[in-house]
Amino acid sequence: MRLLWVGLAGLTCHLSVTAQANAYWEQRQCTWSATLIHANAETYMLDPWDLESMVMKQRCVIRTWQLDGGKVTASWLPTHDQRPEWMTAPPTYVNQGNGIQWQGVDSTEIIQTSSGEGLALFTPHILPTAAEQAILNDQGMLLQPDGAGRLMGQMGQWTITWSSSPAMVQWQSGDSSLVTTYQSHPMGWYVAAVERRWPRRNQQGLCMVDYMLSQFSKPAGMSWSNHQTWDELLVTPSPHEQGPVTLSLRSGDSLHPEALTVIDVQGRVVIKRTKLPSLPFTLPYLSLTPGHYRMQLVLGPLILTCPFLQL
Amino acid sequence: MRKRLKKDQENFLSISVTIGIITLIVVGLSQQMVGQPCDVATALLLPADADSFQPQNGQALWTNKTATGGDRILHFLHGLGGNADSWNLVAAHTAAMGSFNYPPRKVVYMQPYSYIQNGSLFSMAMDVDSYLGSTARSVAINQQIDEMDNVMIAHSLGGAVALMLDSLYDDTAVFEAKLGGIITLGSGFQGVVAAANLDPNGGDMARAFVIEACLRLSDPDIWAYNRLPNLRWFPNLDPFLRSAVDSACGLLGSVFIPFTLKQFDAPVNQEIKPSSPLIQALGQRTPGRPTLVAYGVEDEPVFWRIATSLYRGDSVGMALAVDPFSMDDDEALVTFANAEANRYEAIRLTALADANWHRWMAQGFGFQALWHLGSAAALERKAVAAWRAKHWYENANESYKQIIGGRTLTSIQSDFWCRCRNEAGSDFPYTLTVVSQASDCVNADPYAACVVMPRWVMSVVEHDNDGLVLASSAGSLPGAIASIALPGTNHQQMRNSSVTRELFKRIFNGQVPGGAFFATATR
Repeated sequence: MRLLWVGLAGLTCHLSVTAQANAYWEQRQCTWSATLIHANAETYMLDPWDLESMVMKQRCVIRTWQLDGGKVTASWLPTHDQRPEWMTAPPTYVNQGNGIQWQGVDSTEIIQTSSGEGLALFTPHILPTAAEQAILNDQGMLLQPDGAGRLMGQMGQWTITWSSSPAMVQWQSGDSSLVTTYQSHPMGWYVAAVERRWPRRNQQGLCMVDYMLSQFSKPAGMSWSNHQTWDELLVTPSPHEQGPVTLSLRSGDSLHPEALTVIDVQGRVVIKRTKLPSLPFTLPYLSLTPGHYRMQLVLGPLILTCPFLQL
Repeated sequence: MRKRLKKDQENFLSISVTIGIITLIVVGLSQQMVGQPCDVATALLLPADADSFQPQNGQALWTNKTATGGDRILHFLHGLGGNADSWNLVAAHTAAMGSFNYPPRKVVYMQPYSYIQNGSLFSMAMDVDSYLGSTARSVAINQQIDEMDNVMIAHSLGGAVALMLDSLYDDTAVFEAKLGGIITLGSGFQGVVAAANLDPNGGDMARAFVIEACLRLSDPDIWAYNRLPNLRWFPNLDPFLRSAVDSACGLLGSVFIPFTLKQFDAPVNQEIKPSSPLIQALGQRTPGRPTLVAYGVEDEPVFWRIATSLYRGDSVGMALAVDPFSMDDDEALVTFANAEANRYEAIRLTALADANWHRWMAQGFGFQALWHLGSAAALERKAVAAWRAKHWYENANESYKQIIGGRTLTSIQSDFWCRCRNEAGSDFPYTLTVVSQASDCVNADPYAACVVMPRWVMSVVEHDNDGLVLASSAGSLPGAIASIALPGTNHQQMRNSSVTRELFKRIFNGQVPGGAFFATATR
């Protein structure tokens, strides 16, 4: 662990890694979903749940996954894009959160761990399905300029169509379709969007189409198995004077920390804050008594630590 | 030898005595068990003298009802699940005695006890016609009343039966009309949404409503038996719903839900759903005789108000006996629900404060910290449970209104979603935007591959209702002389509220424009 003083401009902190993790990645996923019906459809006798499903809904989560030897642990974390209450509240109320919010829908958190065959299930869509992977690998279709192709009758009733620009694979069967869009990344291809249309009939016999569009941001994170690509946390200005500080990553990545803690020289946690927004963000003043402290930012298996002196 | 003989005599004597005693015991027992005459016990009773009551004015048996005299017969018809008790107090006080600010009228007191309710509207109308042609006709003949002067006052389903009867009288080859006019209260001529939504084979929303309530109010962290009202009508739930309540609430279900859903599996409900062709036909048909329709417009929260009236339906007997129009107060459960919501909010805040204290104390180490953590978690669970219960009390009315159609979601296809592919390298490959016209969703670049989809906007619309039937259904009948609103009156109140008294007074006074037919002299 190294500590770099950058004068009054700020701190640069390095990370430590817990457990055996050798990679940590994040991806922002936003899903839009609605039930589509024809513009002239008669909706008078639709059930309330059908009516409600016709409203386009957007839900965003932070997908994280870390590799630990042969295991992958994936998490779906709630986003806290809006400023958490404690960032604007007086500091004396920082630790008095509302218990309801901790357990409501907003804090839904899913963590699953698997290995072996389950890897593809839990790993975010950076790994295409086996069939799609075969197309990508064997044909190299997506890498050829203006490449495109079509497979019919190969997958039951489904027709598979692919193209290289844009890089996408479309599964089509009747009115049902599944379109996967890929984008390139230094680590390889990742799924950037999945668009699905799935027709069904409701209880009144009306034909409806369940529509879903999920989009995934470019994976951001670190891998340190073979070649270390550690990132650095920048804290500006240095928190040794009272005042707001901005936390960011040198790479500019917008990772989503789980917690921020400030620990005094006796090892006591004097400040702990969760429900953080994605980096970079600005903290209100920390309100600490003079002394030596460590600021720790938790990113999955990573802990970025910054010792500093509060004047 | 003599000594031996003497000893044998003594033995014989003792044996004989023993056998004799045994014989006596056996004979005695047998006499006691079966040998005694059956009239021994009665013989011990004191003799009674016959002292039967002899009325001073000679003997008379109550062999038939008598009717008051009058200018016309008012036939009162109850709704689904009711009987003559539904109207009897109003009927009696209208025919004689009157009530506070309600003079009696020159009408004959009589009403059918009930009509069959296990069949269709047609069967019910046939049953009522049978009553009109037999019991009622004999009274009309005795009282020298023209049947065309008679009026049927019908509540709820009774109104639909009356309209069905009216339609039967169109067939003069089969039926002879026995009715001059009709007054309906809270009859859903345009269909009853609740009948569709509560039907176990239809919307089946009653189960969801009840189960949600049970789950939220029976949380072991907050449950308090003695805080819940004991609602005695609950055991009368339909079997299908009963089983749902039992599975969700267990034995506690009987005291949980201030609500009744009786009779909503009756066959006739299929005919009063808004989608029923029969009710649609009745709702569009002009009655063949003067008809007045009245509909209730209950104040919010309608659920707690009609629940109060249901709860009190048979518990305000004394007040109604004195004044049949005294069933105005429907605040009891409104107050109860507000108090419960406040109480659960207090529980939530207290639990949260305690949980925060435990969280603060848990910052140390060791078992004590663990204990504080556990306590905090338990208190936070309690806070969540209290919040859910509070939420239920605050929102039960909204849920209930969706069941009866008083609160509907409407959808309007206002504009369009336009989904276009972004330029390569964008963070997200696609962008969804809203365009007013489908033709606006174009992009000259074929790479964009824009797709247009209709965009629907939802809005919630509140509809006036009486807690069970929509005002727009009970107050809409083509050809009716008048549609009269009963403000602040729910479906259960509208037979016995002070508003009903004013309604009847105006009708019988002939004050309803076009309703001179209904004018009835006071006694």
